[in-house]
Amino acid sequence: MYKFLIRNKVLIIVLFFVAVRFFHVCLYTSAACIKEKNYGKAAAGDTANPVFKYIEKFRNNSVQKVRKLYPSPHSELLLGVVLGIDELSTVPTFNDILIATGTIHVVVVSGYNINLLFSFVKSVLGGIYTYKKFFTAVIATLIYSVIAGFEPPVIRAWIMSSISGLGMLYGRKLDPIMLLIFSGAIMLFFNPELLFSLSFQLSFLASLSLLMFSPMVKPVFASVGGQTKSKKQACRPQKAVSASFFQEDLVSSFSAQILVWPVISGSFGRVSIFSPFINAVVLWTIPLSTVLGAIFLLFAYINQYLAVVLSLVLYAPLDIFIQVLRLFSNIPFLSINFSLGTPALLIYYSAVLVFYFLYAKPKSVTTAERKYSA
Amino acid sequence: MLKLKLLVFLVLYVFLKFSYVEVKNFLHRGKVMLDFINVGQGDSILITTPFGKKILIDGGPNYDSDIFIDDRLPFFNCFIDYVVLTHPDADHLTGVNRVLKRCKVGLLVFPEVALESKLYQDFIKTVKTAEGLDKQSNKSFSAVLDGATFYFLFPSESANLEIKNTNDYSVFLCLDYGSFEALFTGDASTRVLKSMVPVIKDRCNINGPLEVLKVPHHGSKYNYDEYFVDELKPLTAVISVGRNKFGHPDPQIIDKYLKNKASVLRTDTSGTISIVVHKDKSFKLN
Repeated sequence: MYKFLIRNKVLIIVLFFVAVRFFHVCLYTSAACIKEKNYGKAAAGDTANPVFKYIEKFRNNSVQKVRKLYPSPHSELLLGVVLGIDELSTVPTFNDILIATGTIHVVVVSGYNINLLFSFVKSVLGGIYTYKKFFTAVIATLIYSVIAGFEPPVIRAWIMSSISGLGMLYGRKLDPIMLLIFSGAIMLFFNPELLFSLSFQLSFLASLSLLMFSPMVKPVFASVGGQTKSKKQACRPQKAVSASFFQEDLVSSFSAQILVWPVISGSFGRVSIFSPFINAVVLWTIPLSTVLGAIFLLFAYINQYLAVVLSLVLYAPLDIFIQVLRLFSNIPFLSINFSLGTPALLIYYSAVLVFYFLYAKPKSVTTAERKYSA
Repeated sequence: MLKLKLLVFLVLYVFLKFSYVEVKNFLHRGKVMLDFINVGQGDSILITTPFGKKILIDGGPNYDSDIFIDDRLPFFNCFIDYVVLTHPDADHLTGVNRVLKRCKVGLLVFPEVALESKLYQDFIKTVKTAEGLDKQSNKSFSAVLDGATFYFLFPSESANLEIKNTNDYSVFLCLDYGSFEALFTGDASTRVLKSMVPVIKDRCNINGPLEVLKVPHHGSKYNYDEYFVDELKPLTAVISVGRNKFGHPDPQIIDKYLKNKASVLRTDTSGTISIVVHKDKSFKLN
């Protein structure tokens, strides 16, 4: 215990200040803490600032361009994953399918987008081992974060990737779980009301769950794909690669659900039974849609013809995602009405934490962790 | 190598998807199709002629009609021959605005109304800025497409009616395909329905029983006329309706249609309702 306190003294001091700030803001100043604040939208919509005005214009133009080329719900899906624009209410049938299949979290800009962009900038610059390269990567991700509406998951991922990059700059390897708690603490320090934001809760818990449980879940799915290499697979490495993709997505989906499902159950009163499996089947289309979608939006500003050619390729991952979910939505009892009360929720989380501290082993970083932690 | 294979897979998928759409359209050749799209509480109907021409009546309260259109037309070549906005209420107009922004339209038929709503102003702006879009407002006319005759009737002009609310602007559309006749009524009120009976019988040449009637205003009790139903004798009454707080469709109205020997179909219970009219003019539900 003493060793733990000494080892994590910086984190403990930060958490102490966060707690003080939280009690100060929430208990003494206002009742606003219990209301979900529309965080980020105010910043993007602040038209008095010329930078925000330009970003708002860019977002509106992008919406028009996507709407002109793509049908619904492809356009809503693309705008959601690339720019974080939530227009799912305009396609209620598709929205219902996303809720029933437990995939609604996919149609938002998440921390994953930031990590994707950070890795991309890193590879373009050939690493971030100088101050100049490091700040270029941080500013590039910050600009994208603001364009994407600066939602809580995006802020969290931006802080995480920036600190992780700083660690790399000084040749220090940081514990991703501590990094996650640290970035969450910084966010709560500046805005304690975020603790009651569903978006923050889901993003934070999904990342934490993934980092904590993916090493435990991975052996369970070892037989699905990459781990068990039969002679046949060794001869056909391509098949092994695609199977290992599926395995990674399956591990990620199941791990993330461990801490996330009680919050979904409490908030929506519904739980999707097949959600992890469905996520694993369709998840591969999302990074592809995000990367191609970002290039498509850039092309749309440079050359309309290039954008049209790319739109034909981009249509495929978007349509595969939609059609597969439509297919799955025909399964009876896809989701059940189930609402977890606060006492049950606390008991569940306590049990899960006890289980984790009893059975967690020191481990190497998995691909899933690398994907979702900065 | 993996990236190249992925690219080939994506291109192949797009090719197969569009081939599937085209083959499906080819198999429906020679038939008239009426699709009452399940858009929730609103109207959206897609009519396909024997050689694949498309007529969209209203777009519903959301973009769900666009999802349906994407299943019928390749996204890079979305052309709709006629788009009819019966009247500018949100539950009919929202989807039309979406379709107009994406698809090319041959002729847009709509009643010109002095209305301040943002949705309608958006519509007017789109109509004014769209290149090469032909428009037809407030003047009744007919058109023959692949052997099917369509009559577009504006109550204010055809029946010389004084218009009291937006519902009364509802454009009527008659479809005459040999012995098969269908009538689409928007949200027309009882007063308009009564006045339009002689016009429909005269202009649309409807004499026998009407095969399909789109029930006015989602089955509201304020949009039913005994005389209208007695004269036109619908065999199938389709109610386009979703979850709502207005009590649509009214159970008494459903009873009245049933008593008149009409079978009643509802989009809220059946989903999208597709009616296929064959070459011999017989029709069946898909």
